[in-house]
Amino acid sequence: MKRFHILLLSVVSLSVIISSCGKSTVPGTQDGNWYRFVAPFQGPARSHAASFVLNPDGNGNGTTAYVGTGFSNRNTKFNDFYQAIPIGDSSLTWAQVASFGGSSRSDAVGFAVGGKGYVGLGIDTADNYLSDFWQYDSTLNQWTSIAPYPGNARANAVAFTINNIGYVGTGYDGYNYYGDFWKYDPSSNSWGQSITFGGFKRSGAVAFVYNNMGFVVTGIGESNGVVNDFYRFSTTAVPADAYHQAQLPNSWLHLNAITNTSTATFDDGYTNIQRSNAVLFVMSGVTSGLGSPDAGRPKAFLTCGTAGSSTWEYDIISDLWTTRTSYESQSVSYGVGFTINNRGFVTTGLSGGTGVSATSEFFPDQVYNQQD
Amino acid sequence: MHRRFLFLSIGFVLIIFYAFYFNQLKREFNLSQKQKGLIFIKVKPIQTNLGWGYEIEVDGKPFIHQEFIPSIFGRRGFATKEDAELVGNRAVAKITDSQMSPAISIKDLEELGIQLKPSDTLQIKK
Repeated sequence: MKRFHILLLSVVSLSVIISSCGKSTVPGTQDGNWYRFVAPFQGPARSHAASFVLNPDGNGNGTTAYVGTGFSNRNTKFNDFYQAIPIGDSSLTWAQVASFGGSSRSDAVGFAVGGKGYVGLGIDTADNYLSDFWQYDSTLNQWTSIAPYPGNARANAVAFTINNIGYVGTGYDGYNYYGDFWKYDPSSNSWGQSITFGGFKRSGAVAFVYNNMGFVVTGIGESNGVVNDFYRFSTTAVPADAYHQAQLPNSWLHLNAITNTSTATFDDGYTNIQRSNAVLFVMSGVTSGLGSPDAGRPKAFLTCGTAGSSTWEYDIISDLWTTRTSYESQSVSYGVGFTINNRGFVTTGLSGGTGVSATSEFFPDQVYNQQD
Repeated sequence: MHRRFLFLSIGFVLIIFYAFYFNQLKREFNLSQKQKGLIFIKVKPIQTNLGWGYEIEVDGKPFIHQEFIPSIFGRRGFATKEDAELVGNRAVAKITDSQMSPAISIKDLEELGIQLKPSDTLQIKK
């Protein structure tokens, strides 16, 4: 009898713990969970915004994200900017900062070096492609015009930072796709030509940094088709490992293609990684897949864009992709993804022809919960 | 002994039941408020070393933490608590007016009589 009571108490206690969490979980594999109710973007709903993350480490993870410019569904272009700081388990607070110093624009690009943000390029309200660049000082809350981009004016470029140098390249100017990269040195306020991108010229790609190497993937190429090649840039020599060939200094290394192009089985399921105008964020120490060889590794998460809401996880160490829980809010193109405090967020974007302000956070280690 | 244990168990089960029931009610209430499009917004002035700013909570969750005057160049807080409240309320009015964006423009600041300096809209060239 006593055993029965103990058993009863245990069952009831367990059910209470589950119910009191306020999040009912659904059965499923640990594919990650999108939390949809993060404080929405503070400015008017929009797409084609630019962003940067301040105080990034060598892996692109910083402390404060800045999102601004872009355009609304009424084709109004913006120059306002907002900062996002994570609080609590699944939320952000926003604050409106100084409006961007340059003209209102869409499709600009951003990066951060040495505690300052840099935003430039894009398309203005008169559909001119732009080459100006501006520096944001968060301490002064002030924008300063810096040396213009020396390459052709363009939009939908990508940028990343390695060892206090910003690299900006690829993009489109209405006629031409680009593969050239230029590097900005804040200490001399000057640009120099970097090594041209190793893959197809493209627009609407995504870039990220890990271990002071720049990665560029996805996008749309000259044939107006989404491209499937994937490259990594390093300024220093990288020795070969179990998954990569040796890389020379200042070179682009070809990584596994993002479609099923090999005779091996690892890419048989690579059905819809290809896309353009997607969003991406990087998280370190993801513990999902415990028991599998990739547990605890740094991962990049790719979602949205022209391929819809499917989400893919890229294991940076092994150069392999696996599917994750699809993006749960309305799928967007031309959105923004960023990592702050090792937490991955997606905000703004174009959905059904309309700019949105919804913001979501991805929890790769959680079981999918359709109610949040 | 058995009887006492039984009562304890029943009491515990009842507490659990009410906790669960309350949690369900809370969830349903939140859901119905969302379905009705109702949101609860609170604005409060905050004082920092920059001066006065404001915080806005939506549905009990922090949304905006604005320590300095939005939109202008420079990190300058509002001169008075009243100014901060005034601009915070303009931001709230924009949310509740279905504009959905509490963004504040220079025009908003001017309309609300916030004292601006020429340097607030200055652009700098390197």
